Amino acid sequence: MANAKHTGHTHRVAVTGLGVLCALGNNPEAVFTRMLNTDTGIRALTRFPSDNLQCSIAGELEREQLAALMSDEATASMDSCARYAIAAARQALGDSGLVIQSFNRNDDGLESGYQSMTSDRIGLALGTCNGGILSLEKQWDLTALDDANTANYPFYQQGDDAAHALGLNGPVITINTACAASGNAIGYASDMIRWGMADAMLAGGSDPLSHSVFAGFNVLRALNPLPSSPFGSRYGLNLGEGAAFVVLERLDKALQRGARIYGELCSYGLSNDAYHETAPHPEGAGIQRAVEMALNRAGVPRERIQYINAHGTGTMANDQAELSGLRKVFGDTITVPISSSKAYFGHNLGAAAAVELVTSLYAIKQGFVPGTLHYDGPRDGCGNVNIIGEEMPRLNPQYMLSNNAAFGGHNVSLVLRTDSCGTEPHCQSSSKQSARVVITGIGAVGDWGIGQGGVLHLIGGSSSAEDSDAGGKAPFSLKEYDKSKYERRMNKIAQYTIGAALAAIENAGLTESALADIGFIYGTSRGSTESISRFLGSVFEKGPEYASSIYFPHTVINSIAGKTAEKLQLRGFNSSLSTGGNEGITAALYAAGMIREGSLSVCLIGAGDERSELSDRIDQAKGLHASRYAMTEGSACMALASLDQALSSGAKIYAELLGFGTAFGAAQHTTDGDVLLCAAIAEALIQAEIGMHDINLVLLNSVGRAGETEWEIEVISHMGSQPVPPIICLNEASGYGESFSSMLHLAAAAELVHHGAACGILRQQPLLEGMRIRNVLTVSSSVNGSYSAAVVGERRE
Amino acid sequence: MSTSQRLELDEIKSIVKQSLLIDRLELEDISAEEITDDMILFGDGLGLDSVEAFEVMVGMEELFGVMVEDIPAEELKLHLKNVQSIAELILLKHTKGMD
Repeated sequence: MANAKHTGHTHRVAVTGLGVLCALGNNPEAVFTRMLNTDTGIRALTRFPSDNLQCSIAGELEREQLAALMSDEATASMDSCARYAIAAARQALGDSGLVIQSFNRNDDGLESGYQSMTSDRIGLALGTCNGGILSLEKQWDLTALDDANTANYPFYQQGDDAAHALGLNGPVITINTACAASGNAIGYASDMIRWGMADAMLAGGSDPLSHSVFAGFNVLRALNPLPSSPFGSRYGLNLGEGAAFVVLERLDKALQRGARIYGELCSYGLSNDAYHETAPHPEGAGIQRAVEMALNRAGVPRERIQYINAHGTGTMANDQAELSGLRKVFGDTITVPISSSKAYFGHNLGAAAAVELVTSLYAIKQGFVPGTLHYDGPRDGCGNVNIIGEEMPRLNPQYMLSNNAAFGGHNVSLVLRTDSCGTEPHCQSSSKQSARVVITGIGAVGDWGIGQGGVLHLIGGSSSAEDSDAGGKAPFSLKEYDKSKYERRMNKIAQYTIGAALAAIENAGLTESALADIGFIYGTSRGSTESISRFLGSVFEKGPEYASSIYFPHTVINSIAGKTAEKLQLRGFNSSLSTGGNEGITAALYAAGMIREGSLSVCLIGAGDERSELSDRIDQAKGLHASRYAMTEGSACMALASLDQALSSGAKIYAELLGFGTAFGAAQHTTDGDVLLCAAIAEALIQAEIGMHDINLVLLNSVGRAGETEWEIEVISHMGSQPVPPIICLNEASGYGESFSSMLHLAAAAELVHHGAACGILRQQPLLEGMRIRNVLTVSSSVNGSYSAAVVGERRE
Repeated sequence: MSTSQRLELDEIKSIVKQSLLIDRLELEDISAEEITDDMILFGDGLGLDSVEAFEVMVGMEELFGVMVEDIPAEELKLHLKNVQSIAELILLKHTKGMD
């Protein structure tokens, strides 16, 4: 594979395929035609009754188009979120002309050629606000959930199902940053290509219209009973539904195969408002930081931006705050044409960024940019801005921005070059030396309490507990630990995560003033299932008009990262993701990439889980009751820094993160599964520039179902190293948390490398006696057969 | 204001404090006795925020059958100022409803 690590060379990223499904149609051309006709897809609601709600219109898919989608038998067992995503992703792939060839059929020569790409070099990033919530709504009773539907609920299930349906084996992720999710997913996907982890990615978002989410927006009085007019006279938003995907591809490969190029994805920025769980920062400070980061990372001066596709929901809180943030970047009077596409097809939540980007790129290819339907002059706070009205103007912008903002305070801004087919280089320097990444702080909260500086002494894998900070078996209470960071009704997972973050920050010696600029990447596969149950319970039991406003903001699972960012004032690059098992390593991979390329110097990473009745039902549905490990809850965080930053600040260095690898779709006890698990490990070793013989210990985060762990150990043991290094799974001692455990294993690896020996911190390992531990390989598996690997080693001189 | 109305007002206030505020919003750090009739509810005082305001509004409908959806936002803010003003609004709506 192309190793992007040492030269710092980064690949450029082209958009070569588009797919969309929304209220205006089920392909980019149809949607464009109706946009050009100033048509809206907002119509009378038919999907569910709107009695006693303040709004009875929405942007639903047209009945025939939905029926066609639902007649696909191959995807019939999946949640609608995945089904919408698959339909849009297939369109995008077809549009790109790329043919995916299974990675293990290289030798039959049938599909070789410029248009083909092997499945291990192409992955998928899906953004979703509500995951498979329709699978719970179908049942409308949380006390009697069945297995088949409940198994389709988790957020990561949507990305995994889509990747599986398309036959992909590259990096797969579900980004859960609510209404910014698909923008973040597209950004993450571009990083995978830039950093050499994939040659192409399908990236987008999906959210079908949900009755309970509609009820949640209704109770917050955010819905407009009339068709919305972003920036104009009518306050409030209309909900939509749909999915959209882009094919992102290495620009050089796209040019080589003569692909149609819609634009070049130059870069993107993320931020967090760190202000409130639903309301945007009133001056748009968060969106301002996301835009500034996107422009800086892309090396594109703001003067080159010739079109901005705004978030523009139409609510009182959003529109003026967003323009206020843009004024800080573009000046008090904004001359760049701006429009919001939301009056065409509604607010598509997690799919919004992708639907808006796909329809903008298609329109630009035809020589137009989207207008702002129903715009009738600026409302208060929206003046002195060049807002495009109802008609789509002819425009060929050199560069465009696409912005989105979310509950939980997450913001995203994408920068695209949209002229000259991306063949001319944009301003980004691509030859700088890449930074080395070290671990400088560890903090964790579990059923043993809170601790820092390591995890082994906490989880009981230790032979001595003399340096333990553990506070006993009582569940961790943030209120008792640090009341200033606690608030009423704070759910358990937010308390654990804030506690673990505080411990990691203290351990890394980071000052409060430094926190505003560091990154924060968090992984959780389920968020607060207790809060989600409380909200859904209010809707299912009392009725949609009695939806609980205080629990609604926690149905989006980026609310955990958002609350942590708010309490700790983490305002920089912020993301929240789900993989169903590999959250810890995936967050580390993402943060390390950002540090290597110089976009961040310090990044906090975290992962967490919460137990609840709903969580237990999901465990059963996902077959986790068959795991040999007890299910547990908690959170672990680590501080990562560039080596230069760590040295200059005098931080303790636990270990260096040397390499990462990932592969999706590894079925146990199959030849393909063997190859994929080995491929994830080999990729990490190659990046680290070491061999299996240099590995002293393997820490394996196994889900632990029957035969699974044995198979994983068997495959790893045969990776060509004699003697085989010890392979240890800590879940026997710590219990298993879908997201938490991979971070615990990574933290344990750092602790062991720092300690240099197993003696004293790892119990009963005769093979490790007297051995100096220099390199630890951490391998993690997901519930659905995704594997991630990370090499944690001594800092090299 | 008649004696019966005053009694009713006191009763409403006590339901507002316990059921509408403490139970519904799960206020773990304050008791009904500590919430005075004139304590500011939003921002200062009790420290509730905009999301909790909507919960209070839904609760008024669920507990008292009082709909506030048609009241303009600025006017509603005055009604939701403290326990006294909420109870008066509920009483007024009930009285009107009986007419």
